Amino acid sequence: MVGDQIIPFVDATATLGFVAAAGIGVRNYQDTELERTFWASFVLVSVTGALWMGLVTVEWLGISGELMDTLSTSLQAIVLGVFSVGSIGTMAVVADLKESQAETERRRAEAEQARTEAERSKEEAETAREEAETAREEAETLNDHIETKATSFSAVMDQAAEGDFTQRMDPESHNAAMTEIAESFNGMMDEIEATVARIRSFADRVADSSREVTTGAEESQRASEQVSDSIQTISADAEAQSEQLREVAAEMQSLSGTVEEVASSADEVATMSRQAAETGRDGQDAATEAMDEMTAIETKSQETIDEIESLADEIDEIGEIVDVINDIAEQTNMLALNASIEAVRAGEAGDGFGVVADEIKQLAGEVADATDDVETLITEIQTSTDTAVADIREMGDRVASGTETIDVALDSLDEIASKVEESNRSIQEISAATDDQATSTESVAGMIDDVAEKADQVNTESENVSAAAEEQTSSLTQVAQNTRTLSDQADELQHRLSQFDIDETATAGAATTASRTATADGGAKERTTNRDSSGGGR
Amino acid sequence: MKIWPERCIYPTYHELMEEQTLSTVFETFGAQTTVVLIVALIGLIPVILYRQKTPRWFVLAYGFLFVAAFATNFENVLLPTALNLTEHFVGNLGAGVAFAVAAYTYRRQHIDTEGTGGEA
Repeated sequence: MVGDQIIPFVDATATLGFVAAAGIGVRNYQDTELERTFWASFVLVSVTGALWMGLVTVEWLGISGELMDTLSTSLQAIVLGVFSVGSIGTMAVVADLKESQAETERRRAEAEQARTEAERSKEEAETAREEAETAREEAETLNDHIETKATSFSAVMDQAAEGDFTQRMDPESHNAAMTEIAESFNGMMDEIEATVARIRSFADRVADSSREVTTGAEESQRASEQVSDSIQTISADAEAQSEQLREVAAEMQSLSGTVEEVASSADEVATMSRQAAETGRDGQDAATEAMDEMTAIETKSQETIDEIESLADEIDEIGEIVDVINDIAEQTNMLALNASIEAVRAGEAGDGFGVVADEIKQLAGEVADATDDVETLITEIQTSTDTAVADIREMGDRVASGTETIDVALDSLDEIASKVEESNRSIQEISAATDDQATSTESVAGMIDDVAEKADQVNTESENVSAAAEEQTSSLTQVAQNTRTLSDQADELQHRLSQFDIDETATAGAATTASRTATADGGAKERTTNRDSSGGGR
Repeated sequence: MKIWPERCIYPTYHELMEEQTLSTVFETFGAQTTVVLIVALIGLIPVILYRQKTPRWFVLAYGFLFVAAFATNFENVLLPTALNLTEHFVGNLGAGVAFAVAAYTYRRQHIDTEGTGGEA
């Protein structure tokens, strides 16, 4: 069997594998520390495995025996036992040791990091403490300075509180906040001083304006009363207008209905006109066909006349033939007579011949009678033919006349058809225009309804405005009374402002500016002017 | 009622049957190969217990050794040719190759990389 022959080579390869494993295991043993026990065990197992496989290979080469079997089996048991218990177990222990070592290393690194952070925190705390000490010393010095300045500022504020707005603080200081306070206070005093000046001027103008407003309010009161009366009149007019618009709306509704009826009638007329145009076109077509038929009849009658004339000629020829036959019959009669004579002259021998001659004479007589009848008939036929030709010619004349009449009728039908079509177009336009007119009339009716509704609203609003005007009159009465009170309070304000001390020369400019602004816009820009001047003070 | 005395000098029926069974096993497997099979079965215990901590190739190497021990014992009982081929082609060859590969792979993954910080 092939497999049995290959088995020695397979076992030899396994032996080499164990040898290679032992070699690599030795190198691993040299290059590691924790796993040395494992790799020593592994090298032992590999070498034992190589011996075991070597013995198995040798047995296949013919070197065998009970001792070889015993050795081989024993080495296999050693390989199994030592590898499972020694190597695998050692590897597990090594794995545990590695995990423990890694955990220890991680904890050591964390402790080192914590120690470094603690030292850094300690240094930061020391620095913060030194900075706090320096700041405390600076704060003490500054505190003394601030107390001195605060005493000075307090004195200035007291004088300002008593109404002397010319007092100012000294901005020179070691502390920026005190300097800023002094500058802000000085700016504020500048603003207050300018504001008081402006308020004085403004109070004067308020007093004057109050009196003017009082007069104006009384005039407004009268005007408001007039407005109220006018609006009541407007309300009455609006109501009348609303009533008229409702009537107009009713009329427009009626007109809209009429226009719709007209539109409906126009539609019917348009339909009939369209049908008339179609009938005209049908008549035109029929006349054209009749024209064609009349032409065909005329042609046919001419052909009939020609044929009858040809027939007359042929009948004449028959007459001539009949004459010839008649001559022949006469000559035959004469011959028969001669023959009878000759038969008589011949005697008894000519009796038969005389009978034949008599028969021939009799036949000639019958032929002469027949030709007479034919001539009579030919004469009658010629007469009838002439009559027929005359009738046919008359009929041809009448056909020609009829054709001319139809031609005229055709022209008339053409004209009628074009007129009817033109009338149809016009009626269609009238129908469309009537429809538009009906739509427009409905729109106008709707608009008039809207206008009537708006007129009602105007009436209602007029009443509201009238009521508002009355309320306005009442309010203006109250305003006139309030303006009188305002005038009194402005006088009181003037009196109180005169108690403040200000530098008139320093605030003259600001007061003038305020006066101009107040005069221009009635005081609406007063706050803006104050803001601008306070900004300049700083 | 007891038929046999307290200490009988003759073996019991069960003792006779046990002796007969063991002799049958040894005659069939052979004493030494039976020991090998027992050792292989006992060795499975640490391998199974520590399989999570042991590299895969080492576990595989023991697996091949176990296959070789199993096939060695049972080739006298059933499928002699197939189990003989399994013993040599799978068990012996697999074990030798797996040992070499396990050692080499471990060196590549854990020892050579330590110098370059791979272990970390």
